[in-house]
Amino acid sequence: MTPRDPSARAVAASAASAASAASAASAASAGAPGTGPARVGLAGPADPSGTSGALLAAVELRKRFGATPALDGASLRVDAGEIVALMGPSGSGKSTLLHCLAGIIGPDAGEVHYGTRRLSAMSEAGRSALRRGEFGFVFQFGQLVPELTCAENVALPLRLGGVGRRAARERARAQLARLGVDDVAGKRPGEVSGGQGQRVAVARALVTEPRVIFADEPTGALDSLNGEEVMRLLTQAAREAATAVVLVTHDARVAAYSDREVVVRDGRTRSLAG
Amino acid sequence: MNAPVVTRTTATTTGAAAGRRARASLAQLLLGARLTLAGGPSAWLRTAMTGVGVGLGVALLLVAASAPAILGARDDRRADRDPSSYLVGGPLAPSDTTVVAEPYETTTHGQVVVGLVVRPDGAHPPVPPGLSALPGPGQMMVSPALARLLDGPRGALLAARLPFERVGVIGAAGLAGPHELYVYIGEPRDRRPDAAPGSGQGFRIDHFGAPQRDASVPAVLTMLIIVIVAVLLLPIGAFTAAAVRFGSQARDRQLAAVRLVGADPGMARRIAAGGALAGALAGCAAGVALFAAGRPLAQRVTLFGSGVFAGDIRPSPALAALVLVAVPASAVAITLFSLRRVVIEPLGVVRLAPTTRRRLWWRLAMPAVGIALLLPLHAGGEEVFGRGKQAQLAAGVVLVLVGVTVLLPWVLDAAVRRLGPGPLAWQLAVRRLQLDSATTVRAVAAVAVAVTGAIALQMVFSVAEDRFTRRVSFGPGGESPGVTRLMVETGSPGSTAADLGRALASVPAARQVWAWASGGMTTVAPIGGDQANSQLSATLAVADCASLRRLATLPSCADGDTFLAVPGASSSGGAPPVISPEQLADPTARTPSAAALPGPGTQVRAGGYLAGLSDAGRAWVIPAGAGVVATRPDAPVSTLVLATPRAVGPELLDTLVPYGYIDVDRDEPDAYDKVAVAAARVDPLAHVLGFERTVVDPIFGQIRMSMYVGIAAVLGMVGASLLVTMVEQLRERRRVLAVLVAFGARRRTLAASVLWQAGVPMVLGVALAVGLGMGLGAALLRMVGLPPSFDWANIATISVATAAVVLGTTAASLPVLYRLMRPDGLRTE
Ligand SMILES: Nc1ncnc2c1ncn2[C@@H]1O[C@H](COP(=O)(O)OP(=O)(O)O)[C@@H](O)[C@H]1O
Ligand SMILES: [Mg+2]
Repeated sequence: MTPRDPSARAVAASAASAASAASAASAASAGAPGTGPARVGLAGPADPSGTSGALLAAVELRKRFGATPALDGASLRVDAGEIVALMGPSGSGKSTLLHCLAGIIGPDAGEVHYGTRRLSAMSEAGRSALRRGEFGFVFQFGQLVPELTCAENVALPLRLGGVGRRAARERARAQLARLGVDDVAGKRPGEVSGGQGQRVAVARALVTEPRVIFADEPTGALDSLNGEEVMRLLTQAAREAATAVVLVTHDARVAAYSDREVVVRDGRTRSLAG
Repeated sequence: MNAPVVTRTTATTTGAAAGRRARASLAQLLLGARLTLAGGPSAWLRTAMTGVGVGLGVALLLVAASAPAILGARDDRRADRDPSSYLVGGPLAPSDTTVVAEPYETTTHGQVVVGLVVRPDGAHPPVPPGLSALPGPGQMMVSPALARLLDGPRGALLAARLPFERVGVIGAAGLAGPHELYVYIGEPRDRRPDAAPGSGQGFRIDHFGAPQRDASVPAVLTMLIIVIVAVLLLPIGAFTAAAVRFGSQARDRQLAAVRLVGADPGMARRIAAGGALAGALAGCAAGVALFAAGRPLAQRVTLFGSGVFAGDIRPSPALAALVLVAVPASAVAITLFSLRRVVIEPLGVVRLAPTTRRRLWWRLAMPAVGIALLLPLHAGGEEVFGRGKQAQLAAGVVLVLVGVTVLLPWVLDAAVRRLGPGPLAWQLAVRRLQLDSATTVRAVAAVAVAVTGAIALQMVFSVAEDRFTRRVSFGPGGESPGVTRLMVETGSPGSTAADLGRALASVPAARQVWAWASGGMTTVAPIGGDQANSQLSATLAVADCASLRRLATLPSCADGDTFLAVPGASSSGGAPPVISPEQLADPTARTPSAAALPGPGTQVRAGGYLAGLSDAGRAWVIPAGAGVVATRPDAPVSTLVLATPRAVGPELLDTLVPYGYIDVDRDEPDAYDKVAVAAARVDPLAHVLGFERTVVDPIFGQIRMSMYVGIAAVLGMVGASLLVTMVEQLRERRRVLAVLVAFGARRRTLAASVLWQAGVPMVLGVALAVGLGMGLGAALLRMVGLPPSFDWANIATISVATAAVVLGTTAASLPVLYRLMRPDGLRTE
């Protein structure tokens, strides 16, 4: 564990250079993220010293809710295929950071770069499209649409992205089978156990083959056995598909599934491992 | 709750236990009330929504409870000023305490102004309510609304024909409502003294007030009233019931928390009941406040044409008490009933899955029994319903209408189960309805009841309208297209008929003008053998040759000529007979079936409008040279005696009254007002009548008006309740919405799903309502002895209006949806 200097300036500079280098030189990775060549290019092991290969980078994020500062200069980089755990006490700003990274909310100050794109420069519709196409989400609980069956819940992101009903159903079934919950496909979320529901949620996050999965305390409502199982399935599937994972947790055992841990405290980030 | 009393006196152990239980129950009820009233911001919001919703319902119910007082007070004041006491007893002789009153009526810009023209016979005439004294000659007293109209920008055309000195304002005691346009006019001195005022329909009376008030209402009208009351009250009830359940999901979570700290299910129920009771009582208080605050505002609204005085809106004490007891009681009942389907677990709420399919038979039985109750009733003719039949009718109607609300969940379930896959928005909506349609059903049921009733009533009204609407027309037709024909009656001397003609001719857009001095005649000798109707009557028209030529085709004409005018050969039916004095005297003669004219040489008494019906007319003999001529097809008269002034002489002429007809361009704006102003130059009290005027039976008109107002109010209220329901549903789903947003759902996908979710039940509800409404309407028509007739345009209008309300309110909830499509929902509380 090498405590890293939390100085944001270095990250900011490197992120900025990554953006300019990419926009100047690499039209391929800018023009078609998620396509074969770009994925291969970014899928290599993380380079802790440079940031030119960063998939997702947050720079000096600040966000207030009224008088409460939720983020106070938080920075983070996530490389393609990397599993990063955000740890910290309750109320430290983990969820807020995750929401900013995913473009769900905009920071008051600072920048989030996804590949060569600046999220703040994109329209709301553009960010929605990005989330539909390239991101997946797992939350703590209450995230499955209660009136849809589990299979329909998994097919939901595909259908949001315009995939036809039949094709979406096939892919959803396959994904459920991969996570070992194909038996609950026809059931409603209210009729399945917490662990099964969370596995369905993981299936839903994976089904679009996203480049980043954001998981906010995915095991928070589960007992430790079920929690471990869900984490194993999530990380295994993510590694197979070279999907990056931003994992929010305050459970060290959960964080152990990550490649790298970042501590969030009072709205600031502090890396623990490289 | 008398257990505690028992404890104190007998102190048995069971009594003591019962007392403890009762006290504990009371404590739990109070705890529920406290949780509801002081449970933090979200509990506050919930209570506020319930309070406003129930309050709205209670306020409307209190208005309904005031209906008898409102209508009663209006009718009482109308009856108190009514001059029709002449109807009982014989004709009065003029005396110090009598007055001749003649109804006055005119129209300005489509608004009807009515009143009385009064001519006291002495120094102590009766005075109607609302006045301290009758207006003197050439003076008038007006209602406040009429004063405003006269002084306002649109009063000029009316003021021109009310050139009287305004000496006072009519008090509320003399008016049906605050917006009534009413006037008392003191007959001007220069008006012809011997003629009865105006059209000659004045009454000599010694007191104001209708002789009898309890006009028995025909069964058809009773039927309409009962149906309307049911149609209006049921949705209010449904709405109030829905309001009681506002925020019930949040309530269930609260109960789960209570269970977590050790409450058993029974306690939880009592706590829920306490909460409901508190909400309903708050609602009752809000309703009473709303009612009290709304009363003065109601006076500003022009309902029933003349509005309602705030003081008339007094709920009947019994009905008000019923409302204030029944609403909290049903709130508790509804809450306990709705909790039966819910298991409250300490760790959150588990709803009982709707495993049992909804049964159809009893749902169908309800409207079927309702219709069966209606079918044996007959409301045709002059029948009047007694209590028993009224109850049977009310029960039948209520069963059909409640049938809508119980059938709708089944229909919706059955339909939604069969709905196929579709786009994502559709899928989300259909799945939502499949999982839980109850909330939506509750909101749509009120709409469906209103629509069912509206359609049934509409069917009956369009048919009943013919029965309760008279078309008043004058003379045969002959109007050409694009032309409106108006008729003018005056109370001036007959010799001024030519002035009337000139005045009418000066009206812009006048196409054709007729004017003559009009009167009647009756034969002096009786018709030979007819016992029933022993005299022959006819109409007399006196005018110069030029004016007469506009009425009939004359071979030649000179002053002093007389003609017997009958419809020309072109008109259908044979020409009316001309009966000679010899034929009249024949002992076998009978009253002719069709209009007939007395022949030349017949002795008659002739005079002003009604003179022929009494001995008041002057003796006249139809000149021997009177020939038969044909009236013109476009003329406003058909069979009558035409005479030139010299043929009748100046004395008889001046007992006649000038009459006129005028054809004006239909497009001419304010044609009526302009004709009335022109006629007022000859006689300020001239009476102008549309050629064809629809006269609606006043009770029928009021009933129809209340229906329109009521249904509009119900739809508005249902819209409001729908909006609250939608917003509440959206708020309950904010977490799911936030997750969907995280996954990149588009606004329009979610908006479309919300619209589908409201639209599908709405379409089913309206379809069901149209079906049952037509059935109910047909049953009601059968009661009146008429075959069913469906006015599709009306049905379409009602359906489309309803759809607009539902979709409009849903659209109004979209801003809330967009506001909730924010990441706040992702936060864990
Ligand atoms: N939408 C919001 N409105 C107001 N305050 C918020 C909002 N979201 C987060 N906060 C506040 O910001 C701080 C950080 O919250 P959060 O990021 O959820 O922390 P964590 O996920 O680490 O527990 C907390 O003090 C929280 O109360
Ligand atoms: Mg959090």
